[in-house]
Amino acid sequence: MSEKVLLKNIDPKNPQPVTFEQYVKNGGYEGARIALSKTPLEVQQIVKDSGLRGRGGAGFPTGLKWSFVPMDYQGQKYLICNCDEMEPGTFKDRALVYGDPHQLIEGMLIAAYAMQMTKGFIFIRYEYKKGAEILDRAIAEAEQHGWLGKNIQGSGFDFHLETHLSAGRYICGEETALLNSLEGKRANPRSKPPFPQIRGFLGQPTIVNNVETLCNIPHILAKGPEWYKKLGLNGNAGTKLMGASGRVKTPGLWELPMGTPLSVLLNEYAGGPSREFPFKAVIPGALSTPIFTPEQFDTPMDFDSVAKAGSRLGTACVIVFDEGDCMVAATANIMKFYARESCGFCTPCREGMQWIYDTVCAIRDGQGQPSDMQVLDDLSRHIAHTFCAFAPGAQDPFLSAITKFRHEFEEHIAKRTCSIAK
Amino acid sequence: MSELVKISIDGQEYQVPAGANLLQVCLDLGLMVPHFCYHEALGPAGSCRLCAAMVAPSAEKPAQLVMTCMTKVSEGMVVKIQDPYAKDFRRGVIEYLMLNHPHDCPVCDEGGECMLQDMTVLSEHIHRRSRFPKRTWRNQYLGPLIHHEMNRCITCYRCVRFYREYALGKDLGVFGSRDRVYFGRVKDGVLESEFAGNLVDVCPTGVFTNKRFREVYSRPWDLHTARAICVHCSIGCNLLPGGRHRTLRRIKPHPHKELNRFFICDRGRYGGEYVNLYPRQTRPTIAGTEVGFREAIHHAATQLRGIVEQHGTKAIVALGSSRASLETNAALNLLFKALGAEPQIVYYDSDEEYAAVRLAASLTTSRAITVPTLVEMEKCDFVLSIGGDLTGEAPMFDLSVRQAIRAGAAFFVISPRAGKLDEFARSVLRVRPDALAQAVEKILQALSNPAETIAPEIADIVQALRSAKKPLFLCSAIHGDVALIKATYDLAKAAHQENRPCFLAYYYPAANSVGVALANDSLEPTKALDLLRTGTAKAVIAVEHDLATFFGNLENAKGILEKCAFSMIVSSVDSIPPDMATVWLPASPHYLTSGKFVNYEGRVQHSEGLSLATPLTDGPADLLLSLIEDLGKSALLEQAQYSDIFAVAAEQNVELDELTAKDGGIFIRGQLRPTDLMRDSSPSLPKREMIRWDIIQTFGSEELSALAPPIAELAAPARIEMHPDDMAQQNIAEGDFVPVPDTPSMKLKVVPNPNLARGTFAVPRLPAHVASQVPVEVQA
Amino acid sequence: MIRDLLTGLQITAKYIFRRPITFEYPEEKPIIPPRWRGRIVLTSDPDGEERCVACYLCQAVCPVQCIDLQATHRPDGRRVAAKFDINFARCIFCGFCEEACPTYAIQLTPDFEMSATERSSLLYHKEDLQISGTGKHPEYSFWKVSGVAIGGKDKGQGLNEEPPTNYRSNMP
Repeated sequence: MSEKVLLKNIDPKNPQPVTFEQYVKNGGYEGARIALSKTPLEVQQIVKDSGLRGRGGAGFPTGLKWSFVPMDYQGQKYLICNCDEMEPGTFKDRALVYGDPHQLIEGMLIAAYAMQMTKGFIFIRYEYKKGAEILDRAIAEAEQHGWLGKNIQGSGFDFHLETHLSAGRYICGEETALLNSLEGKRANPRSKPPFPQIRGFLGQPTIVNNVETLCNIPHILAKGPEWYKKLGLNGNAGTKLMGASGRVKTPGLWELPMGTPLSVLLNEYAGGPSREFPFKAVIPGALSTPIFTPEQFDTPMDFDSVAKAGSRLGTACVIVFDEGDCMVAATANIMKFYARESCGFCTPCREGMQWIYDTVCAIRDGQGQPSDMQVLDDLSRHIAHTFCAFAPGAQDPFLSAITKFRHEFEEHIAKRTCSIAK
Repeated sequence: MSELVKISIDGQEYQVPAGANLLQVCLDLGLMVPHFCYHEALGPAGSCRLCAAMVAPSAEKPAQLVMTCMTKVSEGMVVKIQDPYAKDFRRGVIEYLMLNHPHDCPVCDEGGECMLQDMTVLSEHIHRRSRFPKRTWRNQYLGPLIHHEMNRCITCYRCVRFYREYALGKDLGVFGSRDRVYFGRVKDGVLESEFAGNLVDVCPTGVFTNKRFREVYSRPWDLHTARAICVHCSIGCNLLPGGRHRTLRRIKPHPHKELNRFFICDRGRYGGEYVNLYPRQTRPTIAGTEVGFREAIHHAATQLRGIVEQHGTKAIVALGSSRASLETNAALNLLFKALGAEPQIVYYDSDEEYAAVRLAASLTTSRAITVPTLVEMEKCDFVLSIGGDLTGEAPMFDLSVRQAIRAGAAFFVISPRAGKLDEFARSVLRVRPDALAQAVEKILQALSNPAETIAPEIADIVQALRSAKKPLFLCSAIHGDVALIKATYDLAKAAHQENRPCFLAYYYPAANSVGVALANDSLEPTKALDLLRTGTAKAVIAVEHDLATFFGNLENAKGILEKCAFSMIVSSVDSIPPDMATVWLPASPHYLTSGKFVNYEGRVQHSEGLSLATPLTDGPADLLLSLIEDLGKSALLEQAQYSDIFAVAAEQNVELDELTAKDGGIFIRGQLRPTDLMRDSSPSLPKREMIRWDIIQTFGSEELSALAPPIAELAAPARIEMHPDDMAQQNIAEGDFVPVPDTPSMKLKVVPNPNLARGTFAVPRLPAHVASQVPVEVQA
Repeated sequence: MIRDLLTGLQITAKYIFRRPITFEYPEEKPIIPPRWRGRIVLTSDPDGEERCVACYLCQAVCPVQCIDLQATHRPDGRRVAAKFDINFARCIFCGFCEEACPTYAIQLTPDFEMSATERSSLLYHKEDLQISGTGKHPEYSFWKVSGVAIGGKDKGQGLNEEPPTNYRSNMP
């Protein structure tokens, strides 16, 4: 069995979050203590050495991202935790926040210290209101014990942390849209450059990190980068929270070594197919990644291997389909989400998503026309050239659906009925 | 001279400025890249995705599809606009915009100048492939000027980027998300910004259209146009009026590189409608009886000659016009010479106006001060607005100051009454109208004596001024405050340093105030009134100048005219009953006649008249010239030079003669000496307990635009404003009708205004003929 | 020479016994094809309302500028022509106006009997041009497919339109 790092304090059967006392008893805030005894740049180097990559979906090396923040900047810098987990199929951050809030707080403290940021926000999606309350209580506890606020543990470093409840749209999970939303403006993304590390929240240098990324930090500091590097398989660093939902017997969330093969996740942990049909397709990185078909199920679940196999690791919370699922209906369901969550700033996404959805629904309902495939092909190309990465994220499952399962679409058009769904 | 880089566009090499916006570069080179959300004044947004082209940073690197509006040029860049992938993508973008676009072209006012039509043709999108239903919206009522049709929206965000970001308006915004984005107000109502009319030009489709034009619609290709100069304030924005058959249909901005680049204010856009309604009496009259032009002119010429022969060379007094062209005022001057009479021409309505405007104009045209263009104003980092309300008195100054504020300028106001820009000011000095000059002098003293402690209320102004790199002073010359003109000049001079020049712009009551200020024969109003009252002058000629305003009200005007042996009104606006004068000569209005106007900078611009099939063909200048011909003095016309009549350098005569509407105007070299005018003792105002302040409103105060129905509709009603503490002191309650202190027969409703200086009562300045129509309750 | 004369007479003789193509107008009327470009009319839509929306396209495309019109709006929101003049002394009956018209309003009919004794009566006004029928396109009604709301057809009630979206709702 692999070593549990992030989930080690969490008891799945206990709905209550880990308290401050329990957290400290299990070795909590040790990483913070070590970090505060080092210089900020030393802490950044440790994180760089650990090989930690962002867990929000993009997989950008965290230490490298932190190094872009100008350390000689005189004004206010901000650390923001992106807890706007709205990617369909993803529920890993929820487990972390609801289960072990102090882990996140400690991670943010270390990160803030490393980049000398004295103010932090946890941007949490509206639907995780209870999680925000849990975090607020944990923050109060941490402040009480001198781990947040002014002069933390006598080190001279101040760090003020607060939660911010979003108004509830998926696009707020996009880094720059999050910044706009936090500033009180419409949640439209911004163009990059300038990057948030240079000009972010209120025009100041800002780092936005995912919950899981930040939760890794205390352990890296406590046990060292070398230990962290050895946690993964085949040269990958660290563990990864991996989830499975859909047509599996035991859907859930597990902490597995980075690089665990997809087939292991599907069969050993998720229990294999839940119905009498074999697996048909898996979206490996939660919704916004290209679809895997069975020949790719041996792919190790790490950033580079999944990319080489034609998809992206994303959040590693897989969505599973079996042979009894109609991929046309699945695509319709997927596009309904994207059409609804478009922010409405740029044309191909704003207008195109709804047209894709209408067309796929028509095909699904037996009202498709042969010319519809040309329309979908054109759209699948055009939604790559949008203002932000939301539409390319929609393009991933959509394009692989109409490529790998084109025969299903054509069958629906020709037969004017669905003969696949069971 | 900025650095140039070499780039290639569709196989052709070009040298372009380094770091320039790639889309703007292509447009400047005449390469039409389709686009919507990019606007030269508003910048790029990146939202429409239409300006896509394949761009590679150099010939060896691979090309990518990028938005040219979000790309800066760099050395060696390879751009392919006509690349098939880019063309297909652009076609796709138009196709997506057309998914919900209604089938409105035949009934849409934008057709013919519609950017969506043009871009659709450019992008080669032809067939609708979607069979799904179109989204619809309900429209809002946005006031009498703008028509709202939201179905046509392509969500380019230009309207809110202009309204909120550029013009700093607040009441137009975005609702919704995804493909359900709506642009409108929170509640139906009149758009508050004075620049809302620009939405009509900025919107690429027919969402925002000109509501007044809608009622007299003509397709743009059928409109006769001419490059004209706006007549409703002293800035001199360039306009493109469009007329058809007999009427002026609409007014659009004409870009001027240094003045109004893309936008104009609503007063200029909608104020021109009066030309279709006035003059109402379109045939000349003699003693109230209609006659032909030849008869009227001959009668007037004969009568005037007789009066000079009988009563001497001082027997005629004329009212010239600061809202009429140089040619008109010159013709009036020549008429006196043709009659052998001494030119006794009054251009102003009060001695204070006479002194203040002439002093400010002399400072402007003699180059004693550095006057900025509108574009230069936008780049200033310190702006001090003194003695007036920019929004009402020089609206486009307001818009330029907003741009400076957006760029972080320190903005300060010294004024008796709050204006719309006050909310952006770092501090506001609220002083009585008779204490304005004093306030400026205090700042001057503080600046000149850095060692002394500064009075707290001017501390931040002085500090900001000291550290400013491009300071700008804006001073109103409309309220007749000579001391203020001089004090502001002294302040600007003191603040002016070798490496830090100061800008100073005065703004004036009318479009040609600076022009007539240079008139050599300019009589003070009280002197003219004396001539009439003592009976030395027996005749009055009024050219484009309302007699009721000059004499105070209609009754006074009637009284004076009845005592005259002869009177003549030559005007495009019959503001008083034409039969009150002996001879009435109706003139073709501005926009329909040509003429030169001198703006606040001393820039002469030629306004070209539209030739429409109206009943009136001659402007006021032509009518006066006909009079001179009838007197047999045509030879005078051949010899006449501008420098004989106006204080301009003689070398400019040819330049002025040859000036056309195509040039951006030329600067006048004024020969009026400011020192001479400063020596004139400024009329001393008696110290009063309550002093009057004229509110110059954007809508309703300017004489000509007030006659345009939509402007009249938007004009705030006549009232007296008083500070609540003054009201309490004098036992006046809100809503009481009190007599206006200098016109006691008129009573107006009292409205409390806490943003008014103590000891001041503020009354909107309304043209006399408009004021007489304002329903005011005269309590028995 | 005699031979040439005889050849000519032969040809003349050949035609004596041929049926003449002349027909006796006005007692006999010619059979005019339905698409023959004759007198111009302004048609009405199937509901009996005038079709012309004063879009100015016919005026713009007319090669001899014989059409002059002015748009206005009726109280119910319909855009109509306040004035619609065609100067038939200029009109060359090319049919460009019919081709340009987006609402099938202006049509050319197979009627050529328009003679007048005074030139001024060749200036036809709207009342001389408007007919109550639909002409060549009996089904088409522009207002049904346009997005503009008019009396009797509110926003969202056109063909293939969704009902008006509520922009104040926060529902996605």
